[in-house]
Amino acid sequence: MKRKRNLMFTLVALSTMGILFSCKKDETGTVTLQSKQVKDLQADTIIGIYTSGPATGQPYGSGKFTFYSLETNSLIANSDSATNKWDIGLRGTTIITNGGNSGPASGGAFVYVGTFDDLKSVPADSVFRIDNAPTSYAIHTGSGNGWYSYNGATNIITPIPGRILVIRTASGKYAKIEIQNYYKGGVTPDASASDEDKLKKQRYYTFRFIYQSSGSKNF
Amino acid sequence: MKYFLLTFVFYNFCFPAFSQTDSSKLLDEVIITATRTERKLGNVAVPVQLINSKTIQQSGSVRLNDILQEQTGLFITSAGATTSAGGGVFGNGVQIQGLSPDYTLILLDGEPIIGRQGGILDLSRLTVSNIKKVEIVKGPSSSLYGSEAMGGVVNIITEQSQQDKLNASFRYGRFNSTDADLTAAIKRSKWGLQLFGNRNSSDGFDLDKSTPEKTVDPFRNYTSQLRFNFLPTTKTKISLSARYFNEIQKNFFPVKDIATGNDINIIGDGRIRDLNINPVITQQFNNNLRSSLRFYFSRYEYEQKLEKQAEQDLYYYDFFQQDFYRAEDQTDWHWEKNNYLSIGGGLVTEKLNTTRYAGKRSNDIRYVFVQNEWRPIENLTLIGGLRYDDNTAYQSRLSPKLAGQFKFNSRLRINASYGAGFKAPDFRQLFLNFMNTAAGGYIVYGANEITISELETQKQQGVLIEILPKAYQLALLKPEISKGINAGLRYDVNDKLNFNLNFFRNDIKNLIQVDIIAYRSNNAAVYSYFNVKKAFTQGAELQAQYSVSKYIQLQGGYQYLITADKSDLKSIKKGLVFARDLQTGNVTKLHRNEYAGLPNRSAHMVNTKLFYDNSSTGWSGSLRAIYRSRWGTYDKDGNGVINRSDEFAKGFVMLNIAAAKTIHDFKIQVGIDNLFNYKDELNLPAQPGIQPYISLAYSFITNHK
Repeated sequence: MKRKRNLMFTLVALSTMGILFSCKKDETGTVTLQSKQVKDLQADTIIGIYTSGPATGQPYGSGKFTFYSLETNSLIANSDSATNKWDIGLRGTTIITNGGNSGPASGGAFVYVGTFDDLKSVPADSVFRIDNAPTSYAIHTGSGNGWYSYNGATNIITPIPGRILVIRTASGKYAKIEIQNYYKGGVTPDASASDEDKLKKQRYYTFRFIYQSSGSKNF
Repeated sequence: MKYFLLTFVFYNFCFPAFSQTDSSKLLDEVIITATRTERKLGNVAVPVQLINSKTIQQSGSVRLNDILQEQTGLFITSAGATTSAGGGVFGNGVQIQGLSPDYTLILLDGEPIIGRQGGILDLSRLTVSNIKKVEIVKGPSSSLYGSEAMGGVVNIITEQSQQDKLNASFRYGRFNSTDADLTAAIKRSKWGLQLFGNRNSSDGFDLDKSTPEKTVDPFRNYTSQLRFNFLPTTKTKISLSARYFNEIQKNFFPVKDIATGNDINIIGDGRIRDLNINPVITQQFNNNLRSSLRFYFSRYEYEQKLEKQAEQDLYYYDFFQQDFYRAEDQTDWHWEKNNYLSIGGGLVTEKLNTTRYAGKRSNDIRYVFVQNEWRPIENLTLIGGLRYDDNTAYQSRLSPKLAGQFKFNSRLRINASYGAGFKAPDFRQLFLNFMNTAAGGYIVYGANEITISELETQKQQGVLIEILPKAYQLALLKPEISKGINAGLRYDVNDKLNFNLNFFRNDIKNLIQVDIIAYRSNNAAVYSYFNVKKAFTQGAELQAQYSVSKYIQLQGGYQYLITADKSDLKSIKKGLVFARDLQTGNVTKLHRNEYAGLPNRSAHMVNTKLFYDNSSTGWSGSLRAIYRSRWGTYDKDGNGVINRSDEFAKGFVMLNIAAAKTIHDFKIQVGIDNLFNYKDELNLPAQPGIQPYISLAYSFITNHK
């Protein structure tokens, strides 16, 4: 028993060193396993409210997806929607991947139940889902189905804790994403805040991710 | 809290026990609601609570919610089963054994009060000035009462003429609130007539001065009631009750103009009209057989008409009219020395006419019930009952009941009961056909208003872009049902001190919940109703009464409550539910002990009351304190359950005092409700804070006792 614990200690020590090592490598621009945070990524933020027609009172944005490359950790122009440059696209609460009928690559995703740190590797029996818009998305849409829950009484959208988006990127690599907040500045408005406030501040994503550039399924 | 519990303990255990008043006399009081036959309170096998008119007067209560909020295990709330805490718009309902106001049946002289908004029957519609007593039965009682009797039954029994009488009273309190009564009664050997009128009004109040609208808008209402009874022979009794309630509320609030961003003032009236007519004929065939034929008609009307103040354009119109017709017979037969049988049945027609649904709707219900009470030996009472409710709009239901009581001796008795309860799907769950144009054009269909083929047609027409798998589960709704067990004991330590202990568990299933079935072409959701959720409530209730002296009585009560949504609990046990620290962003697995159960339930509720009454000096008074521990409001970290400390409303203590002096036929009372001025705008929107009042009463005809 005691020996086993020693062995564990050695393993932990080694793995810590490994991380340190990879961090060093990161400085030279090759591999990283450190999570990166993206703040206030605007995803079709609201630019107006319908004053006529069947959707009167309903907010609207430009209707366009915001594309993001996890590989380069950067925004991709909307005009590049038909390329392999982007890995995920965000519009309101809908998140698409570069695959299926959303994009030309063979990306996909599924939602893992657990914490960000617990997901150390993509489980062997995982099935990556493919977008088939508008009836089905790799990352399920709707409150409680995918990454968020919507409270009808307070009109607030909150990421469900313990829901990790596992992404197969445009280049066939793997990444894990934790959506942390849906509101500007990463702060959810109070339930008592005005509806106007809740609308104006929403569709600003704060998330963290780890991108595994080696092609391995381990994070 | 600690201090409070100590007070409670002190009250109930530390006073020396000697005096002449007999608190066990209560056991001889008659209660009708538990078995639908008159029984002594001490012989009833299910948990019951009795509030008499003297307690109501000593407490200075005006509306039914005032007096119910001071009773053990009852909580007055504006949150229904499908509305969240702090909604505030649906008035004051009552939660019993942790079940939402939607699941408590409110009776007036044995007949149901109708007219629920958002599932809640607003108890402030009911004046208590003409009440003889309030009987409360806890636990499922659908075997006798059918739908809604899941958490319990509150039966308000009004006064009948006992003697010639002419009384008037007037009360004035903070917020210009007034309450005025006039009671006239004639009693002759063969007949009696009682007339009652009440006017109740208030300027409303404002808990948030930063907004132009008030928290509660000004209102006034009138209640008139007539009770007539006639005894043509010694064996026949004919009675007629009629009641009319009319309320007007003056609404005012600003809304934002979507196009210009400016405020537009909205003004208008909300009206409630409520009519009840109840003729009853009872025939006593012989000592062992009698039968009652009851008819009941009730109409509830709610109308709200709002317009833009400047342009006088119609802004909003809502009309809701519900009619309830019932004919019922109940026959009671003492068929053997130790057996009492009650058999009954009835027909109900409910009609609905409202702007909220597509056209008029109606539903017919037929029901039969049977109950037998058997006393094989003197100390043992056993009750079995069964009721069958059949109808066209939702699935039929069979509700059993078993109850027993055993008296070990004059001091100790134990009770146990099992019962089933159900609540019929309400009209909105069946018939709603509603498009909210103001909030994004979402649509809600009652379960009987939409079919999958209609959805598919809509999709072909391009109205819908997506039909979700849930839509294929659309079906005839089942009633929401509960099974409840109650077990308890009553112990009379001596003539002055007694304890009542009851344990309860209610398992609830088929809870109806709204779910998205499709998306419209503008991305707005389409909703309908499904039987999905399961939940339980369980706990213990302890009550104690102590007669300190001839003039002073102490009462205390405590309820401990645990509740859970069963599917949430299952997910937590499977490790699928996590919590997020909103400051650090850390996510951790949620443990069972962090899960606080259903929202809007307090684990601990305590009341402690002191009543003083000295008829020789004419002084009387009361000091009543209620405590409610924190309760869950809404989820903040996205896991759908209440677990974080900032997801709770704060617990509170409320202290109410009243004192009265009677001089001949004149009585003056002063009191202060909510002495500590406790307010919580978000979670207790119906609580205005401290409310001092003064009331005067005069009896024009001196009673000869």
